[in-house]
Amino acid sequence: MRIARPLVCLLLLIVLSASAAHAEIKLNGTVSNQMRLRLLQNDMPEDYDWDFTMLLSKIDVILRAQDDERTARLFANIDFRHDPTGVFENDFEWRLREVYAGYYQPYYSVEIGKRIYAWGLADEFNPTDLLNPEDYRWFISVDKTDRKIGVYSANLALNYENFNLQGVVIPVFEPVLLPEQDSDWRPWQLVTLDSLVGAFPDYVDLQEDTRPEMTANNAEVAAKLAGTVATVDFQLVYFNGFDDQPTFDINIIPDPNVVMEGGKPLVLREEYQRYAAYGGSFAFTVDKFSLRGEGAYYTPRYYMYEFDDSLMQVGNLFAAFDLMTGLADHTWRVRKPSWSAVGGVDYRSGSELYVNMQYVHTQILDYEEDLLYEENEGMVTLKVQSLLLDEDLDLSFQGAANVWHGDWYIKPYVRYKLTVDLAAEVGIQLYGGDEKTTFGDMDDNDFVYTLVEYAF
Amino acid sequence: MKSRILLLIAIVTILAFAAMAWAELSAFDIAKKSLELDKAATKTTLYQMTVINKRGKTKVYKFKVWEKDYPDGAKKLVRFLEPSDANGTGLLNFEKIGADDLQWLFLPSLRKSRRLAAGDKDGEFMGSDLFYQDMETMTAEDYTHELLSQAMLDGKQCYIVQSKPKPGISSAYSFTKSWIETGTFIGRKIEMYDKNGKLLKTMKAKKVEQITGIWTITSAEIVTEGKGKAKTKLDMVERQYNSEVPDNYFTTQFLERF
Repeated sequence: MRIARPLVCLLLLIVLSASAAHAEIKLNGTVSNQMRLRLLQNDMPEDYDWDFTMLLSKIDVILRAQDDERTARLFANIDFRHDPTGVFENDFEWRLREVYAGYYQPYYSVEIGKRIYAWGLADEFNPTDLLNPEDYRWFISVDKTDRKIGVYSANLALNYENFNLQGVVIPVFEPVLLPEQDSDWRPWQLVTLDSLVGAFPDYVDLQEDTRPEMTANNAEVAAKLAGTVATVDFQLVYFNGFDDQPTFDINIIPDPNVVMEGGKPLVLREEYQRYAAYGGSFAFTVDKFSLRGEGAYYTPRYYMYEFDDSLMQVGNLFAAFDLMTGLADHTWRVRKPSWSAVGGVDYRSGSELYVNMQYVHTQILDYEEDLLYEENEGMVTLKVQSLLLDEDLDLSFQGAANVWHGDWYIKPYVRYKLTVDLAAEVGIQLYGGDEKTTFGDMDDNDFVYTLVEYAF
Repeated sequence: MKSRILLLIAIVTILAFAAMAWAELSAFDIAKKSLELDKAATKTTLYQMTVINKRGKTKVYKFKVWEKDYPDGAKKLVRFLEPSDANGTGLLNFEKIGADDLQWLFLPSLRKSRRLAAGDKDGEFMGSDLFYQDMETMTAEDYTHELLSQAMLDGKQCYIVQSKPKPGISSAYSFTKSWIETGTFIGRKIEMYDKNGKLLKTMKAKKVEQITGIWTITSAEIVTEGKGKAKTKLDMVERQYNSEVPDNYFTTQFLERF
């Protein structure tokens, strides 16, 4: 069934495109093969998970059917992955990342289907880019463009000169994809249902897949006003939808007969909380410098408190009632407003040197000490690229460091174009920092990689 | 006999007036006439760019350019068609008379356009001998022009005009020297000089044709100094003048529609 839907979409796409007058059909994509080799650490345990080393083959196919003036188009982006070392659950995986139809006129346009949006004028870290969830199964070891997951949506855009107003409705909620419980890429503070299995007594019913139903009330909505005033690009964004990551709460089923009948009186349920965001971004240039800024305020969202192990210490039958009451009365989470902002500058000197530096800050307002997340997180990001040998050779460095906790991540790599269609890349990803920090927690996941990519 | 003498006097007078008229052309007039030789309300062009590096490696790019004139400048959209890894890459440019251009670059992998700094003009255009600036339409008013001399080039009499960017106009070059054919105002050769006044690149027109009555350079070759046998060939595969080009082509929304 999971395969049938994309197949039907594809067939529809081909049939429609073939029948469309003056339509041109383009098939592009890349075939890539990445081999990762984990770097040995001195304190690596003997039973270390060597499955981490992976051979990842990926085919990214883009099918476009559109007329000359791009007034109508059908677009599909399919991603096939194969990992013989078995990092994927099913060994072979394919995703229909996007499939949508669009109709475009000078003053308006409409698009319907599964779509990836890219909002915000900052680089990589976009507090206003909230429409698409991301695939975090490999943390950030996969590029952001590959991490984004398409959402079924409809959007209407109105255009007037340099201004564009876009409204988006997302009727089907799509959550983030998170690393499995035993994955090396799982962040330490991540609480998911599978991490709670075994932590609770039998009479707690762990309910999976409680994502919001497809109803009019549950539709996510967003709007973006974008334009250029004088020489400044700007975007203003409003979003009202669900947090991609769930939080948990325990509810009592108020029926004493449930226990008598062998049922479970307590229910722990994943819940996706609705919130709103108001944000904006800008970009302008001064000589060889581009300045960018982006920020958003988020209305209260749930944040989990640190898990209180003492709740589980009362494990005998006589104390079961106390435990039950304790679990039910315990406050697991609290709603807090927050904000996030990015400010940065990039400098370019010809093709030889490009430098991008940003500071990213997030803050939970009205903070409480016991929350699982820090009140303030501040991160400096750096990207340096040098294109040499007529842009055939790409020497790049990407890095990020948390200025509050000192954890860091770097990725230097070299990419060389063997032909116009074929490129090879060698790189290394290193993580460092204390335990229980975002990057420090990935300290054992350092790896070197090779990548060969063919574009067609 | 008398009538022949009168005719001769008339011809000589006309030629003298014509010569005076040309002689009175300022460097600005010559540059403007040359730069606006193929001026049209709209231009749609399919280019093939062949980049040969000093190791002899050849890359062929195909891209389409839409240009439209507006009262305060011109707008241009460049969309790459080939090779595969560049397919969809787009460049949108607003040229404003007396001000720096606004430029946006769209890379399909990023799914959004990003603003390019005006100072990015000396960046190589897709690894070729062209800079991003060379893809812009040079506006005569943004430069001060000086007529240096006249000289023969490939059997054609040419003006040699030096053009320097006016203060406040960012440019990859400190100045350029253009060989402009006296009769037709076709730019036959341009030398571009770096910030230190050293010759950086030379562009030569290889083929000039009339398309719907408009003189058009349909093939040019660009050579960068010190790069050995490396060169870039720019061939016009197709050019349409004054065809319908909608205004919405010159928006970031259209740029991102790939």
